[in-house]
Amino acid sequence: MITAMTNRLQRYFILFIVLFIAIFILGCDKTPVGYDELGRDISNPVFIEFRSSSRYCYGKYIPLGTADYIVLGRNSEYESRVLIQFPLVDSALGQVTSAKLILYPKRHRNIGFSVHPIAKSSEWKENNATWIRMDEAVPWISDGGDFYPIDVKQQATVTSDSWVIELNRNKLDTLVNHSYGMILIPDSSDQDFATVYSKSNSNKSPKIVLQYSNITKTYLSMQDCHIIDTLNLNLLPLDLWVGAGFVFRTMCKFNLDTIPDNVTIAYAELVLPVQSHASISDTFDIAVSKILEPIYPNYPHQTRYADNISSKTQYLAATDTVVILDVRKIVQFWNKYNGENSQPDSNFGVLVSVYPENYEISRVQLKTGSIKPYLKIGYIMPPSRRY
Amino acid sequence: MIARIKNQITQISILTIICVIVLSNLCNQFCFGQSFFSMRGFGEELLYTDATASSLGGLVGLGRVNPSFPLSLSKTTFSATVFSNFVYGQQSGNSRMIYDIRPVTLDGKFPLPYQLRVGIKLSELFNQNFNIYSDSIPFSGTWTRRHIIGQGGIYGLSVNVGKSLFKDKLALSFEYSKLLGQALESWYFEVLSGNSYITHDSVITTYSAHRLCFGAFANINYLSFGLVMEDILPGIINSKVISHSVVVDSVNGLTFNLPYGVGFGIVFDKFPKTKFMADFMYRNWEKATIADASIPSLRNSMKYSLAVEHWLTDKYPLRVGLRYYASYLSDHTGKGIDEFALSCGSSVPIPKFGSFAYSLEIIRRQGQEVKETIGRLNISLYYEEVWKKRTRRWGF
Repeated sequence: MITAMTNRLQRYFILFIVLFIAIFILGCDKTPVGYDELGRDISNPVFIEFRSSSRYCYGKYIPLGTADYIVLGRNSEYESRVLIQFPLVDSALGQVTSAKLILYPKRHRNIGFSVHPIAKSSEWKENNATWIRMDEAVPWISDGGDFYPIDVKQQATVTSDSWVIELNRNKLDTLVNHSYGMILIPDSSDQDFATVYSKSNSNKSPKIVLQYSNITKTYLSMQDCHIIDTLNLNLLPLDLWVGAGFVFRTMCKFNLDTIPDNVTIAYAELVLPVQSHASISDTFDIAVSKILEPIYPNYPHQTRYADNISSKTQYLAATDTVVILDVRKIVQFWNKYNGENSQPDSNFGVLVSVYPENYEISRVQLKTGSIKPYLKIGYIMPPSRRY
Repeated sequence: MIARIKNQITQISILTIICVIVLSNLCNQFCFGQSFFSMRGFGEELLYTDATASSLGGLVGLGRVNPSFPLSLSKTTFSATVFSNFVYGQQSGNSRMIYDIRPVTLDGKFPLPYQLRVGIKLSELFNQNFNIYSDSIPFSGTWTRRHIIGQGGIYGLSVNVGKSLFKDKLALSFEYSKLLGQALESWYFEVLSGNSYITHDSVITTYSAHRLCFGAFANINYLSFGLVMEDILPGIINSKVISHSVVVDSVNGLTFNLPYGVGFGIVFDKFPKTKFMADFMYRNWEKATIADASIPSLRNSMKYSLAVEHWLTDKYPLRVGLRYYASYLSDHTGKGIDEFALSCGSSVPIPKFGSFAYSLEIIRRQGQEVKETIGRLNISLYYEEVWKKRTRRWGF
């Protein structure tokens, strides 16, 4: 009796396992059984390419005081100077046996440079200082910073771990009492750029070490930044550049009137073919933002755009020949607010830039002419109601 | 012999419970759907609502759908039913399986003095669960497809009152139901590789209507008769399409009018342990309208059942049934969807509680292209009050 029951249960168990396997196999199957029975109008997805209807590009000085790294150097296209201010006080300067400015490189290069006191009247602010302005609305007397011509650098020991710059003790009084920080100016013969950590890195912040006979005083950077200008770079009217450091921004507008209202954007890529690039780093990010108002053709730099980026992609300088950005959310927004059905218009275009724009120095020149930036869009119509 | 059968019934019962528990867990991970035709019309029509009726071929006039059932109500009873549905669909050489396990009915009947009775019921009337994939669609250098999942249905919350007459030879009842329904269709557009969704749109539909039902049950010698007639008053459909989080299309107050239905059954119980039953149901779906317009794809539905119930002992019945059902739905080619079913089942008494009934149905449903082979396992738990209600009135 028990044997018979055991045998029966075994058969049930085997049957159950077979059933389980069959359900698993068939349940994972995704064949289109029954799809025709849906019986509703289902349109196929539509795929369209749009060439940009208008394009603008401009270059701009931006403050670089919030950058993690400060750039020092020069080549045929850019020059970058470093501004640093320390909270030095007039305390027995005559007894100082040595004064050292110490910087910690992130990207070490043998850069020749001089160190000059900044004019005391030039009260620059790191969050606003650019090549042409010491503060938000206050220009330098001379572009590139107002500084005394004296070089306070006496000797420099430059390694990949640290840069130790011996300062001239005789000029300490000028540095402490008659200047507003110091500026590091690359030699005109330089053809490269180095980057050093800014004060945002507490361990590797720029610092000045004053050595007295029996004590050492260390002063960390109070404010620091770099200012960048271009040399021999000419942005022609039809050029489309994006860049960081000295920023270049490109604006593109696309006429999407042929896309029906209320479609679901399944796919939208902004394709930017690259003609050339220049960068001190191997990779950097390129981002896209939504433009918030109609572009001013004559003053494109005054056009408002969204503070937050919509998407970004990494550009690999060695290999990439095209930049592809996912702009699906932007296009969906444009499709919703398209000036129809009592909705405001929102399609003012996109702004393409390097992200973040204060990150070192980089530039990409986009192809124009027949291979200008274009937008690839795939959309599907929304489903229809059951009744 | 009897003992062996009892043992087997008990084993099957245990195995059934285990299967349902395990498969219901699996179903959460796999494709969930009631039928490959559920996206048509109002979905799959649920004719019967408990395991006993389903094991007897799907009784309507003779089942708990009839508010006058049972003829004599001397105890408070409750029942709860779970349907588990395993559908193997075939079309053009492709095959796929979908599953659906869900509660369908909860009802209670209460005897009152003067042979009166009241009852409440919550039951599913139409099911709109489906799960389908489209063919592969080339899109921007990759292969994609649509995946559409429907969930929901139309449910009825019912209250009925009735009275037995002529010493429990006749019972008459009237039932009112508030019909409420909601269905959510999720339309996914997905990449084949990796199953990542590109878009997700939704169609939400709600239903509201009222239903009136009259039921009668009578017994004359060896024959019992069940009759149920129902009419659904004009109702309202609201629907909206949500695409990329925006309502892109909506309609409110769309009127719909479902047809009346008639169910009739007859029981022949001359033999002490054996009953023979025949049951029929009809609904004139061709009169159904939406927004005052007829629905061309619908046809009148009919159901015929033949069944036998044989009590192996006083407590263990064996039930077998056959059903033919001409569904109200037509497939996309216009061919009517027909259904043949073979069912069997039993019940196991639960001391001091009631009983547990189960049924297994093997159903073949087909249109022109899509063919479904359905294994349906239904379980009902019946609670019966231990003591009979005192039916005598004071003074008698």
